[in-house]
Amino acid sequence: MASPAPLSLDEELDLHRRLVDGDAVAPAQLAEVYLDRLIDFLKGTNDKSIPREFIADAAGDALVSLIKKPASFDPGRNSGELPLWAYLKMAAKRDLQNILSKEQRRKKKSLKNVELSEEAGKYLGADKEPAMILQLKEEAEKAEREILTAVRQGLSAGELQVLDLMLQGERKTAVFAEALGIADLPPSEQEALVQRVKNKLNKRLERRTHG
Amino acid sequence: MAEPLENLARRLEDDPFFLGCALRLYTTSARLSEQELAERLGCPVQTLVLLRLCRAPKPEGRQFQKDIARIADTYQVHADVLTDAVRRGQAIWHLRQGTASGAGSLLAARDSDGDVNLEEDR
Repeated sequence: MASPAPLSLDEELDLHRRLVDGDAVAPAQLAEVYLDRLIDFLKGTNDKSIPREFIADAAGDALVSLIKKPASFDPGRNSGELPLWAYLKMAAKRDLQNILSKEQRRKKKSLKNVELSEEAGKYLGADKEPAMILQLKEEAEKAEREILTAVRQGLSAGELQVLDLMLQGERKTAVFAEALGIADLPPSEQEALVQRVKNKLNKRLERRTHG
Repeated sequence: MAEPLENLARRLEDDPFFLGCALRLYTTSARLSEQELAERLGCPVQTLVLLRLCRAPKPEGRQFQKDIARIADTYQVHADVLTDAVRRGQAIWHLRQGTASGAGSLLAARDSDGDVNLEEDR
């Protein structure tokens, strides 16, 4: 099915009015007109290395926010040829920034238990003893390998894949679900099952790390 | 059109604001495939994506009928089948939330999702 043509100003305002009035089909029509366009807009205005899923999520988030709170867009306060389109672009940009910031914070948190602390280097006078720092780093890497070997014991093939994905910083439930062979289940069930496996693996990691 | 809209519709399947939530609960309960649901509604499978993204009909009597008529008319689906699907889906959702459904709702069919059992780590 081809994407519908872009809306005129009157059509934009009519669609928004119908959202405000609670027209049951207006949300679907809004998504149908704007989702692909928002995705293309974000792709065109951001780094190519940003995962496609983040872009799609940000575009979806912007639309869902407007659908649930249509009064957040005020045609009277937004000027320009196509004010609704302009509003959605801004909202999608903001939502993408939020997703990227969350991802940054998550990556930092997931690395903190396995990375060698920079602080340890300072206490040992790193600027004076680089050999000791290298030794500490090697010992940390060896400990990490031993920890992971112990954690991996007895895991199923799917659980092993999930562990590797976690260590690589993977975020998307769909990827974990694929690894577990449950991609055909409804998203909510995928999420619940993926979370169970991740909790199990995190417990193992904590036990091995802290004794 | 398919992929981003379809992914969005699936993301929203747990959100009762959208029609997709009731439809998912209905199809799971009735053990229907996408194709079977589309056949019952009298529409192409591709139309299901847009149906899912509609706002769920409000439960209050007159508004419910109005919303059903609007959706059925726009997407050319059988209003009676849509009514049944939404009522059952919404009833299942309310039962799961532990609240009584409103007057006029159908009794929910027993919902049996397939379970994937994982052993807890000891």
